[in-house]
Amino acid sequence: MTQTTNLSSVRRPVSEANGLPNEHYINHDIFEEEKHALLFSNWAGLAVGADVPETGDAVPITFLGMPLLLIRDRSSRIRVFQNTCRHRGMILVETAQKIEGAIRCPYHSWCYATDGRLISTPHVGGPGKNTHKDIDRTTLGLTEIRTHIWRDVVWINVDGKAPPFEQAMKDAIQRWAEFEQPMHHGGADSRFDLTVKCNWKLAVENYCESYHLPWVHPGLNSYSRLEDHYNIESYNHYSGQGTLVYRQLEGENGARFPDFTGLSDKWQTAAEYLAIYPNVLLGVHRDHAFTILLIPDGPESTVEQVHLYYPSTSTDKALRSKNTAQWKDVFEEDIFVVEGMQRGRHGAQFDGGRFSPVMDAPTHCFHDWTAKNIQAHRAASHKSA
Amino acid sequence: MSALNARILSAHAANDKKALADLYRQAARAAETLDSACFFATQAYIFALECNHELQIELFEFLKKHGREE
Repeated sequence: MTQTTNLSSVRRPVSEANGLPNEHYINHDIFEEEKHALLFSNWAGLAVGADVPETGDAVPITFLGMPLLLIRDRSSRIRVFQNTCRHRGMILVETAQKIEGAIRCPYHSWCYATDGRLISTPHVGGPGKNTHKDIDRTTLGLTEIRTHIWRDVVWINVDGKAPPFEQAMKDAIQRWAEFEQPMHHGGADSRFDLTVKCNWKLAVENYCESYHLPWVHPGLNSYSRLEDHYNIESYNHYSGQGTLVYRQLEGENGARFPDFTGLSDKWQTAAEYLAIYPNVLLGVHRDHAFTILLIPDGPESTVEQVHLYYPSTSTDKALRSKNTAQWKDVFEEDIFVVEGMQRGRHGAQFDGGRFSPVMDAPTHCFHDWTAKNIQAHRAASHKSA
Repeated sequence: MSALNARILSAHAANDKKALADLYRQAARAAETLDSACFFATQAYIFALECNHELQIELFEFLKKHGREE
């Protein structure tokens, strides 16, 4: 029998609620349920545009067990396809590569254009006969996954049923409207991965609250104290934290990164960090931004893919490296916490925990969204059964 | 084994798509029947498509002319 859980206490007000039950962090059935209820039914982060910078660049990605192909097509549009031939279901692309012409299936050589069209079916009607009346190429293109690009993140909606991205993310887009301007990936020195032994949701929960900062990141206390932070909650959409005292990084000669253009005075000293549900963590500052994609790898393992962006293509390499190292230090300080919470969820008597009504609202906001989506999924599954 | 066949096998071993398009086209030209020519032209066409070889246009026209491609 499929595992289920009681989520009624999760959806109470923060002052009364419990966190999600243990099973939501350690159980394979629940992980599979959440895959559909949270990650396939909403707009999830899969990759970044910088992963396929040039026309024809193609990267195979396995996302929650699903073989996908990220590709920049001939017209420079980023697309995501199922990495599966429409003929015999063979995997089409095994390694990251540049597609010079067509995507050729390595099995029987059916060929697809980079926009997914099936363009040749060799010998399908017999040797040297490449057409057949029953093989309609127009109905056999690659299966395309619904995709949207925002802040260079390649967002996908696997089940195709989520509201349009601009509608689903309206609040977050409006909140950061001033940052709707060109930003440039810093390149190889501005990306790194962290593999953490925890459920992906714990990385969201830790990211979106500032309560832990003085204990886990004591180095921030010198200028960014707990009282300089504020909670951000947009129920049903995102949550996070902001700081009022962002201080720019300086190089040895006092050099700084250039600012994004036209920002209001608030951003001279402010910075904000949003967890966009389900699995994308974003940060903005006057002079750089970052993205963290949380790629679940089973109930108890997650890969955090970190990317840093700048307002200009010509930033100083040494300063970029220093900034990357600084953020890597901060994110690594969080590892023992998320991994500790993961191990803590094997304590059978743990009841999901109680929240600080004042400090934990962003985490409760995420739990409420999670529980609401799971309840809706269960109701729909029950109805269709 | 003919010299052309040996070169085709070498190109397969080297995964040299451009060479495969060229060599299969040669095989198509040397074929004694239309069906055989279309078989080799198809092989050439697919590798030309994959590596965006300029031969793809000529090969497509040949196959289309004989009702083998659309």
